[in-house]
Amino acid sequence: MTLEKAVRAYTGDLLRAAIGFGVPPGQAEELVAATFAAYLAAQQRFEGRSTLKTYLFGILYRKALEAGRKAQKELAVDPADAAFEGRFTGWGHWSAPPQGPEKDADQAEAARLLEECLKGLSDQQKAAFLIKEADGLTSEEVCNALAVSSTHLRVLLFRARAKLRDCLEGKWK
Amino acid sequence: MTPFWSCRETSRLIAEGEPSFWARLHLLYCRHCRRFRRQIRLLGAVARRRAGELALPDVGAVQVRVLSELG
Repeated sequence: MTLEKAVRAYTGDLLRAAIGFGVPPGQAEELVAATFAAYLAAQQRFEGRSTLKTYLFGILYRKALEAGRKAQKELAVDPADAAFEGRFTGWGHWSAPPQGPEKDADQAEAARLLEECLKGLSDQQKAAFLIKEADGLTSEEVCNALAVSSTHLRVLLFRARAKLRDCLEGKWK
Repeated sequence: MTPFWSCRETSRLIAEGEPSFWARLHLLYCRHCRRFRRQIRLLGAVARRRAGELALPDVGAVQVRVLSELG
């Protein structure tokens, strides 16, 4: 695909992803421009093993993580793990069953609360959650885009979703 | 060590996004885990809604700018 076609096809999606990740709008434009510049520089090496959309999203998210020096390694132990374990008995049954919103919840209110709850995630967790849920990439595509193994992605998604669910549950009162 | 069909393992697999056959079977008779799954699904729906409502800069202007810088 030519650069012009790629720019026409994906600028909106990339801007939305950058701003959704928390990059201020002005910087998001710079980030999108830098993403296409990186694509142009490496166009010959793009072998088509992933879709162009996955490739561009990968560049964008990795640059966003690097920009804030936020590409820390995922911790071996995260507070989300202990919080999750604390919900169960020794036999693995719920000791504190889930409370709070469900599918018929007020989504506008839930979206406002989600905005606050996203601040509690590590940047890698946030990137994994958003690229999977908001940007709509498959697990395989997310692994390619973020350059993580499927095992690592499962850990990131588990922690992200567990934290967000707990946070919404706490705020939904 | 808890059974692989326990609430703990079922909800973990749901949060990871890959519920196994045993987890899906568990969901048939466990209302708490079903509620957990509905909440995880709600997170996805809300994330998509949030993405759709973000205020974006003028996409056309950004396209022109990018192409003029790189073209």
